[in-house]
Amino acid sequence: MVEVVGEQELVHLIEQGLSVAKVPQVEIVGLSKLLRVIRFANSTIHQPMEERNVSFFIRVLKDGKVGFSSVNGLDPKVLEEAIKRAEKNASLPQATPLIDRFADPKPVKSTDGYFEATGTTGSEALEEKVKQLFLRSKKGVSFAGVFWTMGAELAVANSNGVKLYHRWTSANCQTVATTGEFSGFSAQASPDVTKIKPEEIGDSAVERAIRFSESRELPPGEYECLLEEYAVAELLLYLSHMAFSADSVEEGRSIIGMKKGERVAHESVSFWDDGTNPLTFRIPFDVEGVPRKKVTFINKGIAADVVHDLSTAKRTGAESTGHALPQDYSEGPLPLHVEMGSGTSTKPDMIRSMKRGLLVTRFHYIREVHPLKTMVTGMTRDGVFLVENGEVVARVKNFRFTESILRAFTHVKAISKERKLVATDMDGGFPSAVLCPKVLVEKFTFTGSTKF
Amino acid sequence: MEEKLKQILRKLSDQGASYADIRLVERQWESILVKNDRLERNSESENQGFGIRVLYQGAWGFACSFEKTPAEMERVANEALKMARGASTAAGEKVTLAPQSPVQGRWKSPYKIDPFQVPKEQKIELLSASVKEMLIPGILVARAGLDFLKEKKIFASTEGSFTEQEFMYTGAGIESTAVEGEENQNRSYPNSFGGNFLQVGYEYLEGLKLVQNARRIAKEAVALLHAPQAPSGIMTVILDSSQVALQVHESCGHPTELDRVLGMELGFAGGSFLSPDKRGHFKYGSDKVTIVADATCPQGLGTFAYDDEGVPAQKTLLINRGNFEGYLSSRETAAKFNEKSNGTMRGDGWNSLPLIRMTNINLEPGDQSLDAMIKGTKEGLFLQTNRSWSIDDQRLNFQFGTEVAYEIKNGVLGKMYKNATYTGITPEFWGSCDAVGNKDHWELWGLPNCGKGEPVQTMFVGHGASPARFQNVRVGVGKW
Repeated sequence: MVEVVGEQELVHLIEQGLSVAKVPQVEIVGLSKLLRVIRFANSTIHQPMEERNVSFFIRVLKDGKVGFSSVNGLDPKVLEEAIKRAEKNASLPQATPLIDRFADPKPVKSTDGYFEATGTTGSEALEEKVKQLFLRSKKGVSFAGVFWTMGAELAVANSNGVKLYHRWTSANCQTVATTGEFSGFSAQASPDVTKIKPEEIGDSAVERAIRFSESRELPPGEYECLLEEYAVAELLLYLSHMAFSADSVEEGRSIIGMKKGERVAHESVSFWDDGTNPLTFRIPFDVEGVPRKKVTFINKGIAADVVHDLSTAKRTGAESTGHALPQDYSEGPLPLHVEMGSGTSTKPDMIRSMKRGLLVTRFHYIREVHPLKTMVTGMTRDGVFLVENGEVVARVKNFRFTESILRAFTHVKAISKERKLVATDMDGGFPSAVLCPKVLVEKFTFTGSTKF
Repeated sequence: MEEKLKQILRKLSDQGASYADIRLVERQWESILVKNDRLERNSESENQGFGIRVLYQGAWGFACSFEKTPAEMERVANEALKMARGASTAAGEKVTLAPQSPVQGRWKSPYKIDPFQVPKEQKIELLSASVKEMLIPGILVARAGLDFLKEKKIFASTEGSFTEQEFMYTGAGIESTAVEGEENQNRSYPNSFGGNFLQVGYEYLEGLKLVQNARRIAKEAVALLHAPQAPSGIMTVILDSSQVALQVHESCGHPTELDRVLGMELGFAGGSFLSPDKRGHFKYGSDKVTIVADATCPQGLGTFAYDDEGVPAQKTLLINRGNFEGYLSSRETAAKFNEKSNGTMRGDGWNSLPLIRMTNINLEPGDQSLDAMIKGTKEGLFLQTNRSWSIDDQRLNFQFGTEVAYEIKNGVLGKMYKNATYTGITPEFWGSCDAVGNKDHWELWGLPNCGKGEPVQTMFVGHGASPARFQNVRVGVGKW
């Protein structure tokens, strides 16, 4: 089984880089990944792939000026050249320093996020798992989707004595089952690939696809909605981009920054980020070597805090919460491990409590319409069902919605006890995921309809 | 290097691969962003590696690595073959490739000034001057950014193709954000989300006049804070050229991708309403609407000499005077219709499997001036610069927001509105197009952020467009 780098070599390369740097303040981040992806469509494996990569991100601090460069590969000479470029960039005119110094060493909570089975499952074994999923077809349903696994390593060291290494794994399988006319969706994500059951995913997606043989067209408008975890995760992902980081507060686009301490959602609603939760793709420190803190964004409906990196912390007088990402990936800090607190309800209980409403499997192509109003638009996809008098009675054609996310979370009726990990991105070596429950909201505004 | 690649390919053929190709890609990025009083981003990145794609008994395998040693190249080739072998035992339709004559050639983006040779101090000075112009009372955030990408790509296949290409992309943009109370408004130039991107050199910036436009957009952002909410209802809209470009991208570019049409992207981005039975028989838009895919268009982000299957660049008719005519295709998808590929396969760097991607999807110019379109409008809105975009997984139901809207009343532009949105169904919307701006208004736009595939690949694509007018459009969506 091929490994990307390994702790010894990755840390050695970084230390070698630090030793050749000509300036007192240097930070080097090594990020390696081995990604295996089996994409399938029309119940055929059509795009299997494997990627092996290692990247280094270098920052140099000189007289209050920061220079950055990045490079991939394991050649020490190439790394040295990249360090020289960062040094040169730190000599350019900069009116205001981004940071005063790199992070000092701090204790990091020890977490082992690496599952051997995930790291060593080869592409052939993954292909076999996908073939198991194909066997769950009923009534001519075909499958499209992806099964991926990733093993990753992050090493951070700087001139102040920070020296950290962590390896972790992530895996996700998701599928759209389609009859040609109707579709259903299902997914499972875990750091441990053995917890992912392709058969269950296939059965669940097929059940949603074939549940009714025709669909009703309903008018747009306000509906009571039971949002499955996939739909909740999509909303939280966009809310986190709009409002949960310190730079969004600085730029006047964060509702959390604008209404800190005020009620912005129902009292049953809490959102936070916890990079050390074993249920997620945990990473206990960020690329600046700062331990990840648990940060609560909304606490029982009240706007609370946002995530910081060293730069936003310096400007606002706060402390970094350990949410920095490399400059190549993000303009500021971002939460990668967003969670929503659970409730006490169950899906059958929530459905039974609905007089007339919709059961929404997932959303598609959500985009921000107005950040401070947390207004977004998007579509439903892969299974919308009408609930009447406590029973799911029909499939419904898809809707467009235009809604304030926090308005929806202000009208929460019930939250499920169970939570599910929903993978939201696999790219860049920092797979993100949202851990959330199902949520029943009293009203959700649909503004357009479709014929499918 | 050529001989080394040929050796690997020969070995794959000997092991039973019916086809294989290798791409070696080297990328050099420079990205500078000035935000208010600070140099927010000042980075140089280099990235290189190779990817090998293998077709074995009708199934694909792809593997890639950063490490270009002989041993690693052999390992990666074997891994790709192994994956293809595994996939070939799964049920399903087998891949065949449309015929393609082998090609050999070199190509380089034409440009005058290599941006990587321009002193950084000069670039930072340009951005800082633009930001300074934007920081007027009411502006909370002023941003100015530059991005340069140089890419070298070598392609070789078992069929004997061998090509070398070098691309130079340049992008620039400025943006002002005004905030007051619960209102947050943006204005950008020359386009939102980072500006405009073309396949040119630093000379592009000399004509762009970032500093000269900075104060104007800052004032407009501040004015938007107190502008009335855009109206709701059904009315005539005129879209500016950049918004037409995005409309083309979402509602014509993506649905004409033949892999989407054939269900190959159903698990992620979705399918397409433009099913094969509609080809040649479906009224996509009015007779004012002609849209082409043109990989030969000078300066476009989607311009090249050969795609990532070694197919020469082409200009293809997608929509002809409103009629749906053609798709964007690959060798695999074209073969299903007994056609040849029209050359749209591209991968995002060495570590991505090539997919069907838009090249330059251009709305051909019409015959109207913008003035004439406005004068010919009794009541409507002139919508400028994209702010948000969303479309369903079949590419029918869309909704866009723009940074600013202007009232049109009796042929005259009037007051400014904020938070403008419009929505529609693709063929109905393009069917309501009654005027397209002439070639004097036609501009080439570059979108550097087109996402597709899993893992998501971000592709550079181009769109040429003039302003265009649409009747009976629903505007002002949602509760404000």
